[in-house]
Amino acid sequence: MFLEIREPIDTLVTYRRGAPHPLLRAFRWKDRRYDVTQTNLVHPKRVGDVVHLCYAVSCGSDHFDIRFDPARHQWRLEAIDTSR
Amino acid sequence: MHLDMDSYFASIEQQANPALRGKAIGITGRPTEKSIVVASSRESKRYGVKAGMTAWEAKKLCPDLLLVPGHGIRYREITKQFLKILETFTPIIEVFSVDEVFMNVTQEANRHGGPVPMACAIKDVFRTSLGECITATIGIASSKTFAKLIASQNKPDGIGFLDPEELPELLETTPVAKVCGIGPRIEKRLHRMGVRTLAELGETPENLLRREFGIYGRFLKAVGCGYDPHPVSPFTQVSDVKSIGHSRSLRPDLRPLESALLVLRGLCDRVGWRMRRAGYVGRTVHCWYRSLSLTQFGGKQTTLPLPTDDGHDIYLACLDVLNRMPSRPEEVSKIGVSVSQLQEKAKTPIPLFAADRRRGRLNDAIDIVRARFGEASIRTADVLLFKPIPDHVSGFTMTQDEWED
Repeated sequence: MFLEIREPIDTLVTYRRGAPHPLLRAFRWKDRRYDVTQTNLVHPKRVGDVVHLCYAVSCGSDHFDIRFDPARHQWRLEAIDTSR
Repeated sequence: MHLDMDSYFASIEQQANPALRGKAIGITGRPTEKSIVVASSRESKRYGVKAGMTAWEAKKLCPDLLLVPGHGIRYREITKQFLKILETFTPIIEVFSVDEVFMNVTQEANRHGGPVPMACAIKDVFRTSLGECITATIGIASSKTFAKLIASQNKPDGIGFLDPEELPELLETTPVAKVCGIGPRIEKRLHRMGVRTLAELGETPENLLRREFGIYGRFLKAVGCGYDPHPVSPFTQVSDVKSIGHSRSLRPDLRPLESALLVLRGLCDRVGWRMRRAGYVGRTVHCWYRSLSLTQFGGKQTTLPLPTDDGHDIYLACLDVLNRMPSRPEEVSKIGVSVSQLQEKAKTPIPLFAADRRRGRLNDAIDIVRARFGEASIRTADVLLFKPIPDHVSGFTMTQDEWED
C-alpha cells in the first residue's frame, strides 16, 4: 500500500539529449538522500494547461511515486510504498 | 493485426511498483472486500480470479490476493504512449478498447521483413519504452475477427500468425463462441440451429441466418466463411458526435435523492463544459437514474425551446424531467444525464437577450480558468457540499490534489 506524502523535495536530475523526460537520479527527503536505482514508469498527467510528469521509482528496495511540475519547477514526493 | 495488452491494469501496477511483481494482485476501486476486481494479474488468473468478481469472491479463490487501488489516469496515459509507438509502425490503427487495437499493416509489413518480424519489433519497442512487465499479445491474420481469435490463442506475451492455408482447419475446430461478437445468447440460438463450429456456420445458408439474426446474420455468414467484412477504421477519423453525457455510480452517503441531485449538478456542469469545448449546443436533455435495488431504471427526456451548452440550463431541464416522473425514488445508486440533438454552436444565432449573452460570457470565463488550472479549479458552490472523489474511484476525473490546487 502507498502512503500519501505530498511534500516538496530536492532532486538531482539529468536532462539528457533525446530523452523523453528528465532522468531522476536522487532526491532528498527528511534530511536523507535516496539514490534512484531504477525508474519503473513515467507518464504525463495533465492538470489544467500544465502537463506534470509522474515517476514511479525504486531506491533499492524502497518504492516511491514522485511528481514533477514543469510550470513551477517543483518536484514533489507523492507517496511511498509501505508494504515492505 | 490485433494487439492485446496482457493483464493490462495489473501489469502497469506491477511495472510501477516492483514489490508487486510475481504476486497475485487484483485491481479494485478501493482495497476493501466490498469492492469489485476490475483486472487481475497473470498470477491471480491462475487461481481463477477474473475481472468483474467481487473482492471477497476473488479472495476465496486466492487467499494471498493483494487488492491494489487502480489509477485510471495512469492507464489512460500508458495507452496514449503505446498508441504513439504504434503510430510509428502504421497510421491505420483502430482503438478497440483501452488495451486493444487493430492495425492494418498490409502496406508497412514488408518494410520490416513481414508481419511476424514487425510484431517482434513492436514488442521490442514496448519492452524498452514501457517496461518489461507491460507485454502484449499480437495476432496476425487477414481480417480483424481472425486476428483477435489468433491473439486469444497465444496469450500471454505471444505472437500468433494465421496462415491462409490453415484457415479451413481453424474453422473446423473453433467453436462459434470463441469469436468476438458471438456471445452466450447468439451461441445458444446457433446451437439450437445445430451450428457449433465456424465451419458449420459457414455452411448454413445466409437467408436462414438473416431470418434468425437479421442484418447480423450477414456478419455471421462471413465469419463462418473465414472473412470479416469490417475494415480497420482509424481512430483519427472521428465520427459525428450524437450525444454528450455523463453518469455516475453513487457511494452510500450520496444515494439519498437530495445528495444525488448535487452529483447531478456536477455532471450537468461537466456535460456543458464538454459541449463548449467541442463547439456543440444541444436541445434534448435526457436524465435517468437506477434505483438502489438495481432493478428499477427511470428516465425521461425533455426538449428545450432553444439549444444550450450551459450546465445550469441542463440541470434545470433535468429537475424538470425528474419532477414530471410519476414516482421519484428516495435513494438512487446511479444517476446520469445526456444531451442530444446536437448542432454546431457556430451555426446557431447569438442570443437575443442581454442576460443570455451574459451567461455565455460567464461560461467563457469559467472555461478559460478551467483550461489553465484544471477542471476542479472552479465550480458552483453547491457541488462543493460533497467531498471530493478520490483519484482511484471512477466517475469524475477530479483528484484530491486538483481539488486542493
